[in-house]
Amino acid sequence: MPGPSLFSEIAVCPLCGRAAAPGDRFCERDGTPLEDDPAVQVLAPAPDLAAATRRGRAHEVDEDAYALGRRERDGRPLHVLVVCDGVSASSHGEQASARAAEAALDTLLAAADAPGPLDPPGALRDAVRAAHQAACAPGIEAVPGKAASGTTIVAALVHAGGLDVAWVGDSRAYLVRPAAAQLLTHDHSWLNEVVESGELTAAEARRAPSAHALTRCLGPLENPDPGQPPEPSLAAVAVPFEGRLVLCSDGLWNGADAPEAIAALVAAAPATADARSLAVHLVRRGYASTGHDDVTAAVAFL
Amino acid sequence: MTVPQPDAAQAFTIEAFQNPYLAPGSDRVDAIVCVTASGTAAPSARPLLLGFVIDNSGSMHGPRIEAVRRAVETAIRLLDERAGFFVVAFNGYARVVVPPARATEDVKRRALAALQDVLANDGTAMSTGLAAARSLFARSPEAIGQCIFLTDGRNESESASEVELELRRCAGLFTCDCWGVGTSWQVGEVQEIARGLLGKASLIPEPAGIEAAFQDAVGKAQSKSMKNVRFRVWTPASAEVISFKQVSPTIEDFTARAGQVGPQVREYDTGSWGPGEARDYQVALRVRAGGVGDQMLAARPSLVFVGPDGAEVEVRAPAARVLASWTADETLSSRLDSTVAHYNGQDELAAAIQQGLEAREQGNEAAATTLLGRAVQLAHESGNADMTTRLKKVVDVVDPSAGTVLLKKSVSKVATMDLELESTTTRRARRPGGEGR
Repeated sequence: MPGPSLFSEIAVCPLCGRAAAPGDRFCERDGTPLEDDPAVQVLAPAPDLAAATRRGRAHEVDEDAYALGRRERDGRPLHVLVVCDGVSASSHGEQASARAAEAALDTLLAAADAPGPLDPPGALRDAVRAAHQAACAPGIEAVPGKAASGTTIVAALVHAGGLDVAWVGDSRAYLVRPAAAQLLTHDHSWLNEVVESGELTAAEARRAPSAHALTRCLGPLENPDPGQPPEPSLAAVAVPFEGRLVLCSDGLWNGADAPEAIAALVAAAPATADARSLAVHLVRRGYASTGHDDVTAAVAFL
Repeated sequence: MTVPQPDAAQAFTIEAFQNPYLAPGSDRVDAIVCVTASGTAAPSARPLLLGFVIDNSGSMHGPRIEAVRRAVETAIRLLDERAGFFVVAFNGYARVVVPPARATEDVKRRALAALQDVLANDGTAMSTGLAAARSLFARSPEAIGQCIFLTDGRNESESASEVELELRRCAGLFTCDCWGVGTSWQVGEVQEIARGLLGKASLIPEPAGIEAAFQDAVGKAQSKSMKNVRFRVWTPASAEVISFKQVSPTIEDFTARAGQVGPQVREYDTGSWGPGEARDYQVALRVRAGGVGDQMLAARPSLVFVGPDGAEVEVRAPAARVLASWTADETLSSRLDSTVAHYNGQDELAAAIQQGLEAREQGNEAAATTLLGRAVQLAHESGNADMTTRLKKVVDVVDPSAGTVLLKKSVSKVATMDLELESTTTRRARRPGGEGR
């Protein structure tokens, strides 16, 4: 199939790669809209930085949240990406996730704007602390029959020296390089715990009803004391690197767990795509593959 | 290969009417697609070939066969010289009375002489007349083939399967309007022929009416400028067409006649069209159910025909799309589009008449009264005045808006047969915010 050309008005479906009928804006195979899908919320502050989210079929509100920031520092762009996934069984997970994402972003941008050398792991720890505080602050109404509010977080700081990631829960960061892709995070989940302790094999654990259960999160569901944040896990990759950094909620990785699967989704996007269309593409692919859960992807071009 | 042609692409206007909003989890999409042939179509490069297929069984003897001679004479006088015609007579078997020829004065004269020799005798085997016509139409594939079929009795000299088989052979070669003279013929038998060949079946009570019927038929036949026009429906890979019906001017279920062009494309032969002609179609689809915020192109209707130069032309209307858009807003998803609703009503009207007449035939007066009362109510609500007039010959209307009626004690056979035949003739939907058409 020929790639999209600047001189062609024929659009290509982001989901299946089929060319649409000339002048049409629907996929020739599935009938889905090629662009401007009204259900996908997008934020794209720069051509190399974007995030998108889409509510899952099983949810009345999108409980995922994202936050993005961009700065110039040391003559290079500095990117901040945050993805939070409100816990469905908790009270107003969508409020906890939105608060946590905003608080983490504010903290990371403040660190980026501060004079003196940047301490990425320290800034990320501060960001997770601020996110927990925000999720614990009063104002989130308790829902009868539901637990106190909780949310996951994955936050990334892309800076001149490399990229640093912090997370709590099962929202993930993937680094998709031209040659290979890797998962930077390791879920705080029941599944990982029982597999690591040798209790169950990965295949057995995946079939268990609690496979998706979190063992750590932010907010009062984890610890109602705003001063007692959970311990985040940290990871770092030093320069040089190129490729795409993808942060996502489990709505995306449920259908594409392995780094290779995420890399395949990225590769299926048109070669000329900017961060915005890649983020939308990932979210729509995630929604198309499973669809019941909210899907969020934040993307930085490295 | 479909080659778009700038002028041919204007041959039809296509409009879709529907409520695209669906409740989450809904998978049913209904739409009405209105098609109008351009009123200023270029003069057809295709000649007309008009075939008369006339029953000359014993029951046609006397005034009937004489009226047919007069009617054919009047009809062929109206044909201009570019058109061709032929006459086939059938009873237990078929003969070509007038072979196909251009309608010159000389040919018309010789045709009338040949008609004088047609005698009415023997039984009735309708498939023989159709088979003879088929072989004659097959010799002129470039022509627009239109057939006028006339009978007055039961198809008693052959089994029903003979006709069924012959109709399958004829399909696509020509279209056929049918008339029954008097009341000794079977509505179902004649309707089957008309339906199978994309035409209409009508009743002529007295032989004197044949002339006027044939005159109208010639006018209609000469107006056709395109043949084998196909309604094409593209759907997503995950969708299926539950039903596809013509709903105006008459209700005809085309669902089983779908031709599968590709995995996602079906076509339905709609026959011949003349300039300015308008027909409406009802499409019902089952799509993959969506969640709130999902959108889908559920169907893309278009019309396809072979242009005068032999190239296939596809007429698309970018705005005529059938969409599905899932929303949590029930005020949106519960709305019924007025055009869709109108034809749902006309469909129910036809069913109420057919079932009502059947109940009456079986002596079930209570059911007949309820069903025909409902028919009166639906005809009244939809402004189908012709249908109300026909219904009033079978029932006494007490309150049309409530559907209160009394069965007439004595009803002519002509009135019930005519009502049954015309039950599927619909009133065309009013355009939203516009005038009725």
